[in-house]
Amino acid sequence: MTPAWLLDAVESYGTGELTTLSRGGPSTFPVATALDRERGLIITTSSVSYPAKINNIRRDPRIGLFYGFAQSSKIEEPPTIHLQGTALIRDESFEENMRVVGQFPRLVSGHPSLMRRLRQPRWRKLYQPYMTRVLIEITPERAIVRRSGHSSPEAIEWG
Amino acid sequence: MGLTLDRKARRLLRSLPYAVLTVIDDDDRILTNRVKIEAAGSRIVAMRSESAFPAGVRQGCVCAHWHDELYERFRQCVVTGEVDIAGSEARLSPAGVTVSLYHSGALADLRIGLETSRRGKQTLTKWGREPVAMKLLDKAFGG
Repeated sequence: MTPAWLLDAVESYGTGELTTLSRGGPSTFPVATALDRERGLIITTSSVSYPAKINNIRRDPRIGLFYGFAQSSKIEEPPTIHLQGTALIRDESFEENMRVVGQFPRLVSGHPSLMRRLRQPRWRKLYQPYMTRVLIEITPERAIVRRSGHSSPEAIEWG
Repeated sequence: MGLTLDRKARRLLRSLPYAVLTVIDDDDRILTNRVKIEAAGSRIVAMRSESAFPAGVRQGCVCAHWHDELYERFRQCVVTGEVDIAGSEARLSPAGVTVSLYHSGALADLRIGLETSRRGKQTLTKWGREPVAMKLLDKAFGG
């Protein structure tokens, strides 16, 4: 199980850089993440409009998730955290995914002006494919952490 | 061989204050560290890392990005390719690049809506799936 202090540090960040493995090598993109503390998982989503990371995870579930964009953290001088682990795609029901996402405000709190536009039916129809999302459940297995004031990073494994 | 980075990508890489480089290490693990992009030419991205990467030549990906607090504006540039690492210095020869710029507004949202609609429908057709039910979107956003 992921150590509690590490979950606290991860939860302080709103954005991380998710790496999946394409046929050509690593592919890294920023994602909004949320913490499912009960299950010790990190949750993110991917629209079906951008299926590359979904396809990558299906082919090879290994992922990396890096937290270092301090502007997205709620604490001063947050540690940088690199998580190594595996991901699972949840796409059995897009409607259930929408319900789950609604439980994590971190995943839906952005883009207020777009959210206002979605009050109109034509915009909702246009964005229907974009809002069709798979869940990506990330199980971290190892972390490399660099804390403020420490010159060397420390590697932590558990499980 | 390889890709030539255009002016937009080069300018973005030089201007974005935050970037990370990812490679696969010798234990076959994904390894990411923060880097400072020192130069972005048409065929080389030169970086310096604050933490050690394994030396040698391997496939990698540099991701540079910035967004405001509410994601109303964001800029990102992702470049994949072969990375040559020696000490704290890394040089990437581009093979693929993705540039995304977004500044909230009706025209930008219309453009993205049209593009994501086309791409999303393509994916769903390939998967043999239907999109999320409209009645759920109506309930969630209908106001």
